[in-house]
Amino acid sequence: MLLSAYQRVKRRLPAVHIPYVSSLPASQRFGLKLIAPALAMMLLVHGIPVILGFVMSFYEFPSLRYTDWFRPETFVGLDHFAKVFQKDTIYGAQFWNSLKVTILYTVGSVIGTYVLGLVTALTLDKQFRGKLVARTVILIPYVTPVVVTLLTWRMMFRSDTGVINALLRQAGLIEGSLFWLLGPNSLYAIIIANVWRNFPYAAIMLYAGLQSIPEQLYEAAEIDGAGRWGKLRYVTLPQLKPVSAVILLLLILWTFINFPVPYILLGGSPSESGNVLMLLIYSFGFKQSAYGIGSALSAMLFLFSMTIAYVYYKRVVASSYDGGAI
Amino acid sequence: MFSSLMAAVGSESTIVPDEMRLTADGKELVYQLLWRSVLILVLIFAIFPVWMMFTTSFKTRDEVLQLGLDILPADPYVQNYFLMFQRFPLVDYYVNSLVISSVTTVLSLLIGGLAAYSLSRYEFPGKEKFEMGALATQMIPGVLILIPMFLLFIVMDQSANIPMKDTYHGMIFLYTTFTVPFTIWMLRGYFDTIPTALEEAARIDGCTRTQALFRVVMPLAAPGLAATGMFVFLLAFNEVLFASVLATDNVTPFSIGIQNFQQQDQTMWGQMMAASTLAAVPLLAIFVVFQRQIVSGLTSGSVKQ
Repeated sequence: MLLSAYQRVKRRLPAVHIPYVSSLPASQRFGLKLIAPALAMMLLVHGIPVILGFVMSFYEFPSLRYTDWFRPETFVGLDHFAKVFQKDTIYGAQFWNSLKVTILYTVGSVIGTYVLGLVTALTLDKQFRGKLVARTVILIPYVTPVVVTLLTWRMMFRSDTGVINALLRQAGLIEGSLFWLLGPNSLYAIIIANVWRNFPYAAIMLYAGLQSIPEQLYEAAEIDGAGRWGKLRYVTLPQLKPVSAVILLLLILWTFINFPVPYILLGGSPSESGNVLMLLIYSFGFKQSAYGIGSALSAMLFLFSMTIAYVYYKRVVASSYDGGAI
Repeated sequence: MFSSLMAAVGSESTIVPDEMRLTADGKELVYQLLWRSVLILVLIFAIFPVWMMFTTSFKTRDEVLQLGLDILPADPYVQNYFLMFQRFPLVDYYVNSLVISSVTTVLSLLIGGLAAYSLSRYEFPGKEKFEMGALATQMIPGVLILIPMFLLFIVMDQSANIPMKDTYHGMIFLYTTFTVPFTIWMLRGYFDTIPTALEEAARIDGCTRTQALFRVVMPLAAPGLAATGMFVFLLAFNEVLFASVLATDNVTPFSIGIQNFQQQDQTMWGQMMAASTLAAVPLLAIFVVFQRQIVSGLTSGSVKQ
């Protein structure tokens, strides 16, 4: 019904002539037509704001009246960037701390997620009853709404009555209570919650990777005298290299620019050890109304994450797809 | 240190007397026990927070504050599920989230589906650039767009008199665009698995390209659309960054509203977890139903031989 309505409307419209596009063969024109809405929306919501974000980082924003923006007298050039890089200003000190925290958060989360994902995938790859149930349970963290689960983690991390401290006490690992959401432990809290959230993804991807390893390779390794460890070391792990490269890249990016985990667990004004860059920018922009500084920081964060992605892609993903077949 | 440890392990045969050494069967048994217990630990880790959410939702305020490790609530306190509606406009939060997320899902599947189909079937100039661009959008930190978006919304309101902040259409427009690259990535894999012969047959029978797409391909991709749709819904439902700034007042979604249970002086954990359970259960049910498609959709993007 919708389709015929669309065609009726289309027949009434005059034929549009776009210089270059109209000279293409019909199938190519159709292909372009199909991506047009997606392209237009992405340009509008991603393209323009990204450019605007870079431009804004050169300006000061005295008020929320748009007529006051982008005037010559509010142009500050590279001032915001200079402030951010100087360690002795308040902005600079916070920036360097946040950069350190963000890197620790990313490294910790990615290693934890990948290792736990790999262990899970290896155990899932065996033959046992109830495998489908196990797979379903493992994916639960990934498909439960993250706001909900993060609030649960917040509840579990409470210092006085949280279940995590209770468990640790029960196990005799701590006495008294640990503060998880305040002070130096907040970094560990966000790492743990983030690992919990993402390891099912790593596990299911690696599991799919495991299943695509040809059986002959294991047989050949067995003939060569490889035991369990040898097969893992010389067949499984090398074979998982291409998929691991993709997973690690995604995990790095997802963690680096992750907002919900620190925001819901630690709130808008976290302790120093949990003040990741995303939270810092958020507080500059929307708590302290320092839009210019916020834009400068997020522009740098963007360039940083693009650089990581590019370098990583060139070095690891591309090379492991080329030479990593066997 | 490490090498001496390795040497100790390596010389096992000399230290452990013959009769105490494990037989091949015994080794197998230890190995089986080991990986099974690892799997069980992982399963407990995965389910534990969700289980805590569920049990806490049946606890009274006092029970929540006790250091209980009880697995099941001994005496379920169902009142939470009624009390939670009185404190905050929770129904509004659910409805707002449902409206924003569902419309986003439909639009994203339509727009992303068209683009995914195009990428799967047609060659055109700039195709690779478009693919790279869609991928690159996933690396943009939300805050980088958020600040200009916030100011753009203000401009549209002040100069063109189109309200965008705190409106359904503003949020839907944003979320649709955010999820389109993901939809393209996932659906492309599905379309690749549908043989082109079917469309060709339809074209020979007189279908136009558009008709072939909507009458032949889309119905065949229905399971994929469902699985992708669930993730798009989740993405829109979970969003907090843009929602916390651009969707307040009347359109406050669940993801922001639920945090109201957390007050300066006290938190209504029982009621908050009841509200959370109510939000999570339908989504988990959908996941269980479509899990085969969801798993294959997740993995089809990057595990290709």
